[in-house]
Amino acid sequence: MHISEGILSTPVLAGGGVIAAAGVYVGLRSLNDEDIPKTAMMTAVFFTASLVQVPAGPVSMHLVLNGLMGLLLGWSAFPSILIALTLQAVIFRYGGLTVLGVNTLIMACPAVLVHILLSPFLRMAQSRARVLVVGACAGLLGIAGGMAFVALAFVLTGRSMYGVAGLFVVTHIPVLLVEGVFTAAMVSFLWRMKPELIESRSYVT
Amino acid sequence: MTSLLLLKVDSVIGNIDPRARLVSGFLFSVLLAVAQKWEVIAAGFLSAFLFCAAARLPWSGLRVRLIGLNVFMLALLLVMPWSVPGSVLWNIGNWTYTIEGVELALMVAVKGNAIVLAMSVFISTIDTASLGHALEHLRAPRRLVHLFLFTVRYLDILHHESRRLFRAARARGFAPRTDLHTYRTVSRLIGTIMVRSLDRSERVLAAMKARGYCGRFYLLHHFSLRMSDALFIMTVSVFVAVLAWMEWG
Repeated sequence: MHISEGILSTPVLAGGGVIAAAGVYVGLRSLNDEDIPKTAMMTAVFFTASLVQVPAGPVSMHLVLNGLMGLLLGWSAFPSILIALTLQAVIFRYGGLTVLGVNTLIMACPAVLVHILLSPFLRMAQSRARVLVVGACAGLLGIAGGMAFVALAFVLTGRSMYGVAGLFVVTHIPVLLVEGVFTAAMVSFLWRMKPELIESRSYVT
Repeated sequence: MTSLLLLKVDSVIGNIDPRARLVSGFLFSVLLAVAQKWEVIAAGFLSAFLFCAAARLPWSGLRVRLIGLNVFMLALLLVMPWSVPGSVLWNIGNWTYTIEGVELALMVAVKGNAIVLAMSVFISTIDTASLGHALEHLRAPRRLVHLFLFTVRYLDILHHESRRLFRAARARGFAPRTDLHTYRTVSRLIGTIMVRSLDRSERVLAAMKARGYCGRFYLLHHFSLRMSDALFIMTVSVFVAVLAWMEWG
């Protein structure tokens, strides 16, 4: 989920960069030196997961998993996503340097929102059904938030981008549904395999 | 980090100081992203192309990326002109497809291609570990650089592990389809990678502590600017300055 280079207007690019830098600053402050290997490992896992293609009807899509990142990483999702996107830009040249800030916000803001809204529920969830529900909400909120931010970036760029914003939202509805199902399955798996990851207040950060 | 790296070149550009390439790539991209005039964007595209040719980048790696980008740009060309007011090319009821819109979409496409070319030649030729070191030398936050270097360190390992697990699943007869079974299976595979790698990160931290880790990475790569680097920086600066003068001068 990213916007390519050359599309957004200068104020949107600059504003996105400044807000993303603030988010990354908060995220880095919540990390201490001992958390770095764990957070980096999670970043690498999410990067790897984003290379996995899953079929969705006639097409295949790749996973985003920013909702899950929010649940597991909290505010460190900001630096983690920044690094994943930088690597994508450098290795595959998806996105790019000037849109790095905006693209970070697109994924990281919903992740932090998931962290604030849903993490408390996840820690309280006692049954598999509840864990599944919280996981599905995290997946849906992660992508829906991302779609909203992409649309906002397009709309703020100018009237000429309204059509593109609409197209983006419509084409990403399947992604929304798949991520909901997928994140629910993932959270329930982790809840059974490594409950301390889900239950403790701050396993990763 | 060998299997994931697409552009590994042994050419002139590979010998330039990574800091110089990083800064040049950044300046070039920012200027093109901000530019509004056709002549600036066209000149930027041309010079980015010339830089790619001069660095003798492998065309195959570049082509894959440019095709991906331009499929998106084609979609933009189909959609964008409907929401730009101007002289009408076609119309369906109240909806109009305008010449101004086509021009704007083409401008975005040329800009996007130019920036991707510039990125490819200046930044994608830096290997990821040197990129981390260059960032630290350019005074990026210390923890961010450490996070970056650790991520790079484990990326290839995890990528291989992921391919191994998926190959094993296919060997047991798993065929991805659009159903709950597929999503559940894939989520378990990724979950397994996650659980294993968290355990691994604990072992890594313990091993690092045993060797006296105190939150610092000692940089072993120290870059020093040479004559060729200075020449490179001057060439790129002249290009960027001329483009900036064309835009605002």
